[in-house]
Amino acid sequence: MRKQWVIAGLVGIVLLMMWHLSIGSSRLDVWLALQDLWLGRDSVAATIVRDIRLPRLVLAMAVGGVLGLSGAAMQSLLRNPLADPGLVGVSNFAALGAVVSLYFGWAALAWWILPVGGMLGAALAVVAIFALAGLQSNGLSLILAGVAVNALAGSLIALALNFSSNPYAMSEIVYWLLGSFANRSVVDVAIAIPFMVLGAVAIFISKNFLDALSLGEETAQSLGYHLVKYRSLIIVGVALSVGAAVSVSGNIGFVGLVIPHLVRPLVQHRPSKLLLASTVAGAGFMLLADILVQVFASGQELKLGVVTALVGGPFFLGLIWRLRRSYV
Amino acid sequence: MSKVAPLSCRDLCWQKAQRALLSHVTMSLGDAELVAVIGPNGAGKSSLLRSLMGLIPEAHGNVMLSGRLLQSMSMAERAIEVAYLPQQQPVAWPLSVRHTVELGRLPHMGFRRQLNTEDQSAVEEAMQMADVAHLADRRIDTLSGGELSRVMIARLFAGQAPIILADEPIAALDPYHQLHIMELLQRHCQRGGSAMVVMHDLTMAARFCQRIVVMQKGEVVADGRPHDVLTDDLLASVYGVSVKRHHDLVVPDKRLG
Repeated sequence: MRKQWVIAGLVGIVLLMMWHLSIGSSRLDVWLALQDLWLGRDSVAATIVRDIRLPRLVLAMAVGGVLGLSGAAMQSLLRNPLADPGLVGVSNFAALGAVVSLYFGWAALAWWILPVGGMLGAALAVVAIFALAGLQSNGLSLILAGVAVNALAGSLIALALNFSSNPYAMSEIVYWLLGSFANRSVVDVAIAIPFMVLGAVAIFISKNFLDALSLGEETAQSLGYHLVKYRSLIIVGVALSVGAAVSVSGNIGFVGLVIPHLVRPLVQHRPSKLLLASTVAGAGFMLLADILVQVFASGQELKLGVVTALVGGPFFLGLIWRLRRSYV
Repeated sequence: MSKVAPLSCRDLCWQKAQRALLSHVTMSLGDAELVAVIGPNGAGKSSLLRSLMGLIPEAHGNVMLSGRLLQSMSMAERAIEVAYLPQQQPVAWPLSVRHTVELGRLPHMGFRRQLNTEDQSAVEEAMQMADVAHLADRRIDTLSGGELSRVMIARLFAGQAPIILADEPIAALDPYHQLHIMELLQRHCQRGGSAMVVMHDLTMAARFCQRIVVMQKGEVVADGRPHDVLTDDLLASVYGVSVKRHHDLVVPDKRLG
């Protein structure tokens, strides 16, 4: 990648981080608060930044990062530019796990039940996909299994909505699904981040394999990669990171699909280089979306999944319009 | 060229959907040997190459690589010894020619991120050899079929494996580059490497290869020097054609009833 793009990206991210930290219900000097934090001075501003704004910032960047990363990994793994983390059903199943915990009221019992429910859902999706597609399968049966698992999770979520005991419970589920980083704490960060890091490591380990896969599954094997081993590693990695992301933020679409397309030309379309670029771009995009959510919040809270789809949808259409010749 | 590693198989069988795609194939590839595998469509030539590379786990029988059982070797160990070129397959992304050729170095890279100088010189040399150096910065989706084939051959050579298994490497090439690629394979073998090449051009096979293996319905029906193998009787029974000959030219003439 060209140096100026790297520098521009990093400067952009730092600016977005400062902007993100400066938004909130109370007006405060972010720079001063950060100095207080750094020097260990106990001030109101420092407490607000530490307990409310920093967790939200970290979570937004981590979730955006792993969604971008997982999207890049899935597109390269399936050699399909339309793949996204949701395609293997992991995000919908994670959402289902969280919805179940909301539906039965377990989520109110303890803070950790909802995210753990989400992760259990993600794990279940992985088991279901491997059971359906089999370990020796090719990319196509993996996609088919993913679509089936996805549809199953979608219908079960619809079932939960259908039978929710009162409109309040229903709206709780719907709002949760639309995605948000509001009112997240250090605890959410502590639950989700280890899984995201673990998942990201699993994906980054496979980066040379993803390069080899550009030449097809058999050639990738002949270049020294155990297909089943690496494919499983990537799917588990995506499940870990996306499962954790959905569990703490809701079902945020479009990031995993759009971000890899956005940065692919910058890395000359190389799958290995796409991973880090998509992670950084995903983190930046999610920061921007979370800033927009807060800036345009007027009374009713604007949900994150709505913003990413509103921004991502037309953007993706434009991209397809411009790139359509490369794919035919 | 590094240590030579011959490849052999014994009693190789593979059945798929009740049909024997390979049955009791026994053969070997010696040091400094260029071997052509010929036979009609569906005879099992590609299946043989794939199973020699260990790409068909369901196949029975022994494959020995450098004196070791293939199944006992990891994919990474095999990749150092054998380079495999499948029939033309689409590349998933519009990579540059240079980046595509660099993929041939992956067996030597492990988890390393960057190419070292040895990798880079191997890539440069392979691009020179296959006559694609002038295309280095072109995107592969802008190449012609023949150019793409040569890029894939450069990718094959970049790995510097002693054994080459190539499935119809010259099928999409013009006569100039057909000769060029066959000469490259020949030179690879003269330097001590070995190569097994699936092809349909009988004259090319007879001219460049020391040995020809003829397959039909999953079996090896002939294996020997070109002159001994390419008899009128054999070509009639395997391909169902008569041929015309002139010096070392073997040209299909008529279909036999």
